[in-house]
Amino acid sequence: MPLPEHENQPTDAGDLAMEITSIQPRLYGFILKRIADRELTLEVLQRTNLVLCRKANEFQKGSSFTAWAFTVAKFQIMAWRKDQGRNRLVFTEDVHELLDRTTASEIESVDRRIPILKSCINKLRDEDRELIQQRYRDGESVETLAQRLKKSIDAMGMRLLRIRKRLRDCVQINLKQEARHEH
Amino acid sequence: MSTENASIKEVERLVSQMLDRQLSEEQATRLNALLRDSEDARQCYLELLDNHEALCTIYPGEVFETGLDIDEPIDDSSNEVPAASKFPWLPWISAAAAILTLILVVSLNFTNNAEKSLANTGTLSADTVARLIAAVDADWKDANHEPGSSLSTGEYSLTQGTAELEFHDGARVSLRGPASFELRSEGHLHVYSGKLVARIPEDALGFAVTTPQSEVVDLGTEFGLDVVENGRTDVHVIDGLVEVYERVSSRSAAGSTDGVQIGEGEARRFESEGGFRWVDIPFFSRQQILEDRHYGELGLSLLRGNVRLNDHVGKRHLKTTTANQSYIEVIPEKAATELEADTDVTIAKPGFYKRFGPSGGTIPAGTKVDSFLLHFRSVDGEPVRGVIKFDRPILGLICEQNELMVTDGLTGLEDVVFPNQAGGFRGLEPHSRQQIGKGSNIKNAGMSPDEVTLSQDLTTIRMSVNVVPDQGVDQMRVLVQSKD
Repeated sequence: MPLPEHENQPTDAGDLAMEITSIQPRLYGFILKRIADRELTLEVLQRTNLVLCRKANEFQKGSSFTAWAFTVAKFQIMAWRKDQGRNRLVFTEDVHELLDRTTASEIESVDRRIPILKSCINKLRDEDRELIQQRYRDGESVETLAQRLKKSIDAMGMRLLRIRKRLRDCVQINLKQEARHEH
Repeated sequence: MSTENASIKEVERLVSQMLDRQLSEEQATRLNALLRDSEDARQCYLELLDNHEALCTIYPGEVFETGLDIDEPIDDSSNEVPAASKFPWLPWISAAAAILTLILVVSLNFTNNAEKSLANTGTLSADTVARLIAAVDADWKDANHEPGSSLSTGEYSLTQGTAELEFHDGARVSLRGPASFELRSEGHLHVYSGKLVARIPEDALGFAVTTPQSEVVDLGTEFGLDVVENGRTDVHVIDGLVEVYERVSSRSAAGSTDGVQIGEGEARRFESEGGFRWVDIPFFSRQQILEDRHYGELGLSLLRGNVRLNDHVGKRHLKTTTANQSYIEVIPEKAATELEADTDVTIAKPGFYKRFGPSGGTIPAGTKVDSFLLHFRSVDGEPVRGVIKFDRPILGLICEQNELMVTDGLTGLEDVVFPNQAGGFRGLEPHSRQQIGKGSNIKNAGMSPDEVTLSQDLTTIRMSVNVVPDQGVDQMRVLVQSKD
């Protein structure tokens, strides 16, 4: 009797594809932290995706997919750094090491921030929230935003800097409150 | 304000500029120095970057907007992104360089075969010496090497088709199957049998190709080899100068160690028996050596990616969506069709496109065109990428459903069922700005929207197409100026 089609699949490819897709923003952030350049980050992200797909069979079901993916990314960043000429690297080796944390603590730090950040975004002034949405949700560049709002690129950068600081302060306060409640 | 406080403020500013892609090289150096000097600065950096990661998770638009350069404002009234201002990388040569980073094909191939080929190609392991950058109708013995993958030292057997390798030191070698060869280092290729053409840039000088009979040391040039197993080696010098030596291992005690120089437009045959002997033979061009006559006749060449030419298309062939490998199927359609009416195309001008709505331009009635249908095939959900060049101007690219349907009857093959009632869409996605990056369906939630670049001189197309089987058919028709 022929087996149902799905039983022939060694791995649930569809699920993994979805996992990999949904983890893209986290991977992007994780790599960007260590490379500090968007274009180069996308390059390493692509390499990481390739390895994640190819090594999918090595992922142990039930363990943290994020942790596994970050470990793969870490290796890819190391390999990538080795391949690069010094002029493409923002961070020197010593700073790169100083910035390193355990994968678990990094995951936890960002996990905790997501719900808090959502409420902080809601507390922003309307025009600031819209700007953050255009910048992040729509992925628009500072140049595009400056052009549309008829501001200089520098002025637009300053506005985004101020909003990021406001969000940072809001997240800080809420994280402290959470910590107080836990004790 | 304390100095510590001042440097934290500086970190905040530099981080914000970095996130907005406004960080200059000097500023990058400064950021590095600040982070080196102070733990507080590092805490500040990580805090801001953790927030950024969280923000990207809430709003992933920034992440999925991948591509070459997407800063240009996109005007909804036209598909075209102006090529001149923000795209100094056009003309094509530098665009092809940018593709280096994009060609890494994201593969969702979970078969054992892929695992095996990974073991063999080990994406970034220390002993990779070359990268497979293009494949035409290529099949490998006991392996499945996809364009974009790295190749380690070791033996390879190309049973048919053409494969183009780029060695890490810059040498580019096109091999024609059947060919059997060994990658020995990033500057050394050993060929047991087969045909190849090697192009060596100046900084890869000293790249060596050895065969059982001879050692060809390149002196900055392009040359072709035809190696017959246990037989002879033919050397054709297409450009520059090469030196051929007798192989050390086969050198007899009394044998000469002097090299033989061969100049441009010359060819010599080196025999394996009776010592190190050679005769002059007629010179062959690159096309003659690689025997890509068929492609030559069609006037197209592949620069990157995986292409299969299909000129025997069955009636229902275009309706099948399954594939066990990712490739662009190139289907030659009618040649020398004179258009009876003005014909709408999706893209007619040079530029970088990621939206494919109707009315990108018109080819006037009376124009004579040759037509090619590109059909993008893939295993589960991986983008298919490639760069194809024609030897005559491209008049229009058609990747919008209705325009495809209209031209099916004009320039498409007869007796072929086109997938117009496929339930899904046909062509390339997205068709409008609203579909970009919103993640509303699986196709757009993938790595990137479909992207097409048409070169300034209208001869070359770069493609990156997300294929999701069972969700429509990814096709593009290319109309080029007819040869006749």
